[in-house]
Amino acid sequence: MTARACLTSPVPRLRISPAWLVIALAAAALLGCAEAQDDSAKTKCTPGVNVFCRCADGVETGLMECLAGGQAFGACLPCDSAALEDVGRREEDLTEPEDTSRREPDSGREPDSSAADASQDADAGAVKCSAFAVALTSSKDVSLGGDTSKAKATLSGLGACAVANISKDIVYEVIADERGKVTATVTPGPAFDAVLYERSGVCGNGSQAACADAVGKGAAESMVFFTEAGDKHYVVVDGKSGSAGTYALKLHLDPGSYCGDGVVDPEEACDDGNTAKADGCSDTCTPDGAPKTAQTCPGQLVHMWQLPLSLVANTTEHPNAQKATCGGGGGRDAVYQVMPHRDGVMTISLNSKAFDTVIYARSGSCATGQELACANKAKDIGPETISIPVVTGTPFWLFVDGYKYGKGPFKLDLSME
Amino acid sequence: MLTSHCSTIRTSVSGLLGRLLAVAALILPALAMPQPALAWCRSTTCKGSACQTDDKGCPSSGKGLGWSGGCIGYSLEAAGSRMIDKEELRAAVRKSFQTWSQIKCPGGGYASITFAELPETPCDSSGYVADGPNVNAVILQDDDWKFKEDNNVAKTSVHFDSATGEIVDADLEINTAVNLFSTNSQQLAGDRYLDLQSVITHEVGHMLGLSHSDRVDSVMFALYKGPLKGRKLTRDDQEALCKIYPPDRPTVCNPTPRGGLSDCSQASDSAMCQTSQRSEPGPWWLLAGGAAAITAVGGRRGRSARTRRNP
Repeated sequence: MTARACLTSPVPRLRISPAWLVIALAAAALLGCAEAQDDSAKTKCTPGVNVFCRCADGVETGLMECLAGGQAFGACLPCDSAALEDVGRREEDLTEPEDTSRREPDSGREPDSSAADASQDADAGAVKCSAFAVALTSSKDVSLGGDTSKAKATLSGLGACAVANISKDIVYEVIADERGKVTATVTPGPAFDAVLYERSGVCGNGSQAACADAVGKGAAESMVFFTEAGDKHYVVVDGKSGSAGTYALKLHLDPGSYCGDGVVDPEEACDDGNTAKADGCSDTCTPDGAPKTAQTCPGQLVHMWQLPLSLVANTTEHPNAQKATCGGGGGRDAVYQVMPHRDGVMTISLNSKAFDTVIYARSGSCATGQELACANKAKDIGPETISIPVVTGTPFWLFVDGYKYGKGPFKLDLSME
Repeated sequence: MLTSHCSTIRTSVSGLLGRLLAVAALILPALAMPQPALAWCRSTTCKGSACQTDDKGCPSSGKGLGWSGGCIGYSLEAAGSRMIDKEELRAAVRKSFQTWSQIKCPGGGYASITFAELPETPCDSSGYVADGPNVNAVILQDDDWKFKEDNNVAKTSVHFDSATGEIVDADLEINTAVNLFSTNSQQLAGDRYLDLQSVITHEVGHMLGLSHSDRVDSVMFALYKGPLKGRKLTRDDQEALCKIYPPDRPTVCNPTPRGGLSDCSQASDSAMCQTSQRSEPGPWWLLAGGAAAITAVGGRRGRSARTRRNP
């Protein structure tokens, strides 16, 4: 097709003999048409060209440059500075004079709910974030590119993705058109140690759901976060210890429900909105770790579906607050609020090689509810099992306890009949 | 394939008047009705009286015109205009093209078309060179408006492949020989000067393949509405751009004109194929509707020299 672009114009108007055709093709090759054919098939833009672009607010315009390789454009500039200055102006504008006199000196820098509301009202003068709007669909990946060395230091990640104040960043406001899992991958230039993170809130100043800073210069960083349709996520390409440079960013949306999206789907025992391990809910959406919610009432919420469920925990650090008719007065407790999603009989087996276990269940209320079952039959170390009828949507409370002063690691196995 | 057929489009005065009168007749009933239908039209390859129209008066036969690439390069004529400061002129032209660049579309994404400002050109007339370099020029005709028969305030010559509707070249010419233009807000506050940015913004719409719209508030409405009133795209204009250049259109961004950027040392060869849309007669300040001269490339054509303006 590109060869046609090189040769098309004269062809319809000439009676071309084979000899002329050979000459024309040779000339085309000399002029680089054959090479251009290959390039155009691979590239999306001509490297180095600057074209008009639209800033994140959809109103202001700037220039963006096609990056080396021709696969993506750099940031739309100078949108960054204009947007940042405008944020400052808007936050001041949104604060009434009498409120200003009462504010702490730095409070004006913190976006607040009024600023968030204003961002929805174009006529009132929207708060502009220094972010580039990205509409993400499952039908097409989004490939972007940029150069943080030309940007400003506006944000930092949290925890492992916290960066130096001098680290320049480029922020993308990503909005997916349906619920799903977003995979973001940044591929930096050879000298750039990129840090990639996702934050929410006003202009990305809220919580952080994903962070990637696993490798060093020139190596790709990838992270996953979950989105609802229309939610705003601020994906930030930042630099470690002030590192900056060019990069390519790819965003991919897998639609549907996933473990880690914060919504408990069928056969998920929990979903805490992330895929971290040992934080109370594992990356496979089963209870794990030692969450404080399991130490006392109302207990750690566990959803029970059709398939059997196992969980492993430890009562060593728990208090002794509960007991039942069959024992548990001296042992440490673990408390679970179990939510059945099927009608039937649930059988729960408790095993520990570390202590003499007691298991019991209550309905109605965690601390004072009616005891449904209690088992403390096995002497010393051995399994204890209870079976109780359950109704969909009606929770009950399950207690792991220790005989005498028993405490330690244990395993619970839950199954439906 | 670029065809050997030379096709043209001509919208008659009566046809345009018919559309305008139809709009006027619908204004009052429309006030009590839901959001009226959008009324933008796309230029097509269809020819003159043989061109069928739909119920909106838009061409309904032929291939719709449009650029295949995602980026269009344009060049301002180096000579500029004696009546406008060069930097102000350059800024107004740039804003006009930026107005149509990377428009956000309903449903997300940007229209897959934008512009690039290329080096100035010595070319002082419109034309297309089939077998050589070209330039998409913005020319202010201070001395000689060659389209004297219609006395439009501006004209856009669009050169396209008549088999596919692909636009391969477009030139904007501003009739500064007869009309006063300005970019100065104080001058525009009076009624002597036309708003250059509004007029060029309208012409860029033609360059993109749009025809005139029935919507009075649209940039692509045929008549000049006064200073500052044609600088911002309306929903109608945006809808047109997003339909013709949808966000998911596979495209490559290469703003270099067809055959490379011309220095006008070669003769162009499209003069015989030009014709024009006419705007409704009226007071001079109403005549800034900007006619689009639609020209098919290929085939039988005369050759008119593309010359440099004498200093």
